[in-house]
Amino acid sequence: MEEFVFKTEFWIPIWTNKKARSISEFVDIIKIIDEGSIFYHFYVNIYNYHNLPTIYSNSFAYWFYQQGYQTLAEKISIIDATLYNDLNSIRHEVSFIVEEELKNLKDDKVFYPFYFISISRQVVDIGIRAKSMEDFVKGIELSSINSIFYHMVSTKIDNRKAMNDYSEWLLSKSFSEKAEKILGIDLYTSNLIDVKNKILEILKQ
Amino acid sequence: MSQIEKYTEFVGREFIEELKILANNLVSKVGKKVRILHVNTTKEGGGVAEILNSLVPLMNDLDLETDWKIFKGTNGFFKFTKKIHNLLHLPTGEKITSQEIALYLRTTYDNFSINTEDYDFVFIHDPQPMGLILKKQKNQKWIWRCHIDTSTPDPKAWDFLKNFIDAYDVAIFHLPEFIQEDIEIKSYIIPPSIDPLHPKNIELDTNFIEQTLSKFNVDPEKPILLQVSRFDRLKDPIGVYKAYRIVKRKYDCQLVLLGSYASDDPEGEEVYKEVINIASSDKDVFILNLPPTSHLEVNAFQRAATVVFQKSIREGFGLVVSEAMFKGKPVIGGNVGGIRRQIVDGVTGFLVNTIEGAAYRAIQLITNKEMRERMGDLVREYVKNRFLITRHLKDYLVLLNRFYD
Repeated sequence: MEEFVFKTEFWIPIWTNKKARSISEFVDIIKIIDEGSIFYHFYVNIYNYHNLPTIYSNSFAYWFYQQGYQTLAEKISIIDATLYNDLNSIRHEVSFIVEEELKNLKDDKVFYPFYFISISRQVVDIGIRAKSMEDFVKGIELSSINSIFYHMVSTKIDNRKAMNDYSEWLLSKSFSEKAEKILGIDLYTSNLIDVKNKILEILKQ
Repeated sequence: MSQIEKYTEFVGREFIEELKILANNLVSKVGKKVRILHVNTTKEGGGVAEILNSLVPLMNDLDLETDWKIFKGTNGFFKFTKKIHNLLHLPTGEKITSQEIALYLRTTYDNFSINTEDYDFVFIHDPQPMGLILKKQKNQKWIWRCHIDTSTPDPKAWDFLKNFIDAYDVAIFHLPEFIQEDIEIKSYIIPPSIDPLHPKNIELDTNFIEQTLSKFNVDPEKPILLQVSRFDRLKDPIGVYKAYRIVKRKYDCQLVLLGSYASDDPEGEEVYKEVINIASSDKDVFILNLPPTSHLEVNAFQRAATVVFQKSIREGFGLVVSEAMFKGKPVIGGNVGGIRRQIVDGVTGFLVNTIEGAAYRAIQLITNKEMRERMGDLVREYVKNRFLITRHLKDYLVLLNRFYD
C-alpha cells in the first residue's frame, strides 16, 4: 500500500417503514431488515461521538431495557459490534438471543414500538494523502471523528476485513508495533475524540 | 470571520471543513452554481422560522445560493391549515368541506407567483405550501420537510395531503414516530436543531443572570426548579407545580414556570390563570408570562436552574430540552415524543411518567450535586454532537448530495 487516502463518511437516517410492536414482531423483522439498519442501530452511538456510558451500547438493548426486558437488554448489550466485520453475523446473534428468550416469556408486549431506521451513507475523499509517517500524522490531525469512524469501523464492515485501515497501512510500512497498538484501541468504550487522541499519541511515540 | 467559521468553537475545525467539502461536492455534481429555495409561511415566530433564520445564511456562506420565500394566505386559509394540522395530530371526526379544499387550491394558485423554477432544490416546509408541488419542473428535486407528527392522523386530512406528498422526491420528518405508515416516497429522519449563537443559547455573563433573577425576585441562593413552555395543558404546568409541592415538603426550593401566551390564544390565557390561581399563595412560585422575544431571560433562567422540567403529556420534538441540555442541565422530561429521543434515561436526564416520578428525580438532582454535574458534562457534549444547527446543515447537504449518487 503506497499512499494512504483519507476519507470521511456521513449518514442520514432513513425510515425503513418497519416497526416492531411486540418482541415476536421484533424477531420477524430483525431477520429480514436490511443491513443498513443493523449498522445504524449497532453503531449510531459510536458514530455520534459516543460519550455516553455504554451499559446499553446499542439501540436494540436500550429499547429492551425501556420495555422492561432486562435480561434481553443485558444479553444484547454485550454484543461488541466493533469485533465484527459482518453485519449478518450480528443479525443472527441478535435474532438467536431474542428467539431463545422469547421461549421463556409469558407474553411479549411492549410499551411502545421499536422503529427500524436504516442509513443512507456518503463516503467522501477529504483530499488528504499520506506517503510518509509525517504526512500520516498530519492527516490524522486533520481528520474529523467521522473520518476516524470510517477508517476504524466502516471499511472493516464494507470490505469484511479484520483490520482497520490505519493499522493496515502502518503494517505495510513496517510500523508493526504502532499498527498493533492502534488495533488494540477499544472503540466500544471510548469516544471518537479520545480514539483520535490515542492514535496520535501512538503515532508520535 | 464568515458566519460558518463562528461555529468552529462548538464543532471543531474538521467539521467545518467537511461542510465545505460537502457543499463543493454538491456544486461539482450539479455542474453549476447550486440554487436552493426554502418556502414556509412565516419569517418570524415558531421553530421553522427560527431554524431557517440560522440555516439560510449558513447555506449561502457555503456558496450555495439559498433563498427563503414566504407563502401567503388569508385568515380563512390559515384557519383551514390549522384544522389540518390538528387533524394530523389527532382524529376528531371533523369534516373537511369542498369549500375548504377550494380555498386551499385557490391560495396555492395565488402563490404561483413565487418563483420556484430557477432552483435546483426546493424545500417546502409543512402542509400549508405543499400544493406548490404542481410547479415542479423536470430536473428539479422537491423535498417536503414535515415538522409535525403525522403518525395517527385523521384519514380525511391525510388523504387530502397525500394527493400532494407522493409527488415530492423525498420527505423529511423529525422522528420515525411521526411518519404515517402508507407514505410512498423515501422518508429521511432529520431531527431539528438549536443554534448555539442564538440569543437563547449564547454564553451569558454571571451578572446578567443574577440581574435577571433579581428582576423577578427569584432568590439565586435557593434551588430553582424550572419549566420553560407555553401555557398549554399538554405541557402539564399543573403537574410540574404538584411535583414541586412534593419536593417542597422536605427541601426548600423555588419553582419558575416561564412561558408565554399570545393574545389570540384563549386556552393559553385560561391555563395561565389556572396556574396562577393554584399557586399564587406560594411566594416561592414564579409564573412568568414573558413576551416571545425574551430569549436572553429564558437563557438566564435555564443557566440558573438547578433542575429543569419538560413534563409534557404529549410533545412534538420538544427542542427546549436540548436548549437546557446545551447549558449543562440534565432534564426531567415526560416519556413522550421527541423528549424520549433527547433524554437517555438516567444518563442525560430522566424520563418520567407521573408527577411522583418527576418529584423523585427532582429530589435526586437537587440533593446530589455530583450526579447533577456528571450528567451536566455529558448532556452538553451530547447536544453538541447531535442537536446543533451545524449537524442539521450537514444532514441537508448529505441528502442533496445523495440525489446524485
